[in-house]
Amino acid sequence: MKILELKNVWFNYEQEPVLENINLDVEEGSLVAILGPNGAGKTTLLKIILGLLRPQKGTVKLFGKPSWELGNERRLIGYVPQNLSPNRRMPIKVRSVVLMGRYRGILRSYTEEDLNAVSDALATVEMDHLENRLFNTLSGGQRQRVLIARALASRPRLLILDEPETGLDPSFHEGFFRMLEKIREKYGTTILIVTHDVMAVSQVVNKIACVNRKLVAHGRPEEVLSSANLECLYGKGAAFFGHGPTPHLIVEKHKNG
Amino acid sequence: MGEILSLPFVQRALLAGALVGIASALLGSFVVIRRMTFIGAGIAHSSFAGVVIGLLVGFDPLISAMIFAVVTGLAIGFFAKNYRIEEESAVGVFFPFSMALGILLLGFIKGYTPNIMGYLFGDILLVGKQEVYLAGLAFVLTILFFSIFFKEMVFSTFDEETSRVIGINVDLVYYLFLFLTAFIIVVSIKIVGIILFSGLLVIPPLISLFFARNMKAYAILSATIGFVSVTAGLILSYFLNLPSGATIITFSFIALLFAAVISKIS
Repeated sequence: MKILELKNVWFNYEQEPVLENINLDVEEGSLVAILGPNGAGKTTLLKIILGLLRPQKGTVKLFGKPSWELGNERRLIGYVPQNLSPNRRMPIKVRSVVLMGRYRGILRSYTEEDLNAVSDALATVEMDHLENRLFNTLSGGQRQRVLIARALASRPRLLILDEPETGLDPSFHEGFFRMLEKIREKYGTTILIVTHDVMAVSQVVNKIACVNRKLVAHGRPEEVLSSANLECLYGKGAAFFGHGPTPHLIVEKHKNG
Repeated sequence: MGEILSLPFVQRALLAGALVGIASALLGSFVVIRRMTFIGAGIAHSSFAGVVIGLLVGFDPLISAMIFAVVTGLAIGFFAKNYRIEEESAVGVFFPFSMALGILLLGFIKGYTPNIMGYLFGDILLVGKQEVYLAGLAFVLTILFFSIFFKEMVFSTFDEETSRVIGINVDLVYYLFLFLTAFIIVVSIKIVGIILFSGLLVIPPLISLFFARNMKAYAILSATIGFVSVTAGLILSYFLNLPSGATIITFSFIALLFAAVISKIS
């Protein structure tokens, strides 16, 4: 079953085209990575999927409905934004941040189930011991893990992550993509992730969508990660350095050898 | 002490002051965290044109100031959200324009010019029954707003984008908040004055930030400090025969310095 369908999506910021004719389907329960260089329109694409931006042309259906017409279905989405910078002096505790993932509407108080979901989510990202700390006293990587816990706390059908690896501690980073895979297996969550970490995602994702204003390629990792696609995404000279069946690294060929 | 409490004008000033002190500190706690301090000052100053228009056309200056402040507050929010203009820049336009308009129109008032200084710096002798009722209304609306939307205010302050994704009506909460801020400003005019108002909005939350460990404690402590600052400032101003607004703000400022020192020691 398709959880997400984009058909002929075009988006401009004023006169500047950002996305051109994007067609993309995501099957329920899959783990899909969106790759592309900086400024390729990846974050804009996520915002369109989330219903935060409306495309000038085309349709976006999430859970079978246009994304900007979602009602309570919005609570089935877990979202980890890029570059969140709340006021450093805001006295908000880690637990309160994660509770945001259990928001169910005005004047609705939290139930026992909500509190358990928050504890589970914090344990999943190994942050349960810091639940009473102020969010802004945490390191960048710890904050990122709390934001991932907030997204997981809603037990989402669709988890959307915008470059979540930014600032993650190296020790946690290694296991991060494995953790996503486990979440998908355990809860059947569909995961859509924007990332630069080609090496890590290629080992766990079902499909990769390469975006550089247009959808350059879409398919299984081994089909998509060809030199031609990479050149289209990252410019001439980009290539894989690999041994074995899985690509391992993108390098820029040196001009003088 | 008992003697001053029996004076009707002191009773009115204390009651209106206490209500306004609590409400403005509650709103101010989010003004500070959302880095909107300049907006508070800007809306307050923009109400000056409203005061002068009221005096010029023989309308109640408080009502015309309220209309002006609310329209300005919402206009700042509208331009900031829809025209990619920073809120601060929008304030930078409306603030001097309203003051300029007020000064220009002041010249057209014929004959006796009422106590403009009272509007600019506060004068508790100007606090009548109407101001007490308005302060009561502003207090009830503010408490009602936070009872309903506290969670939504915290979440949209922390992360506006994700708040939209999870279905919070961020714009509704934001405009209600701006409306209440504009409303409380006008109600406070006769107590602390247009120019001194931002102190009432910002200083109690800043003191509270030194000690609060979560958002609820922060808001409640801000409100308590707002209440103490205004009532203590008003009583001091009576005994020392000093202007009310200036005494309240000076008292709050000294409390802020103390809080800064205590927070460093502890």
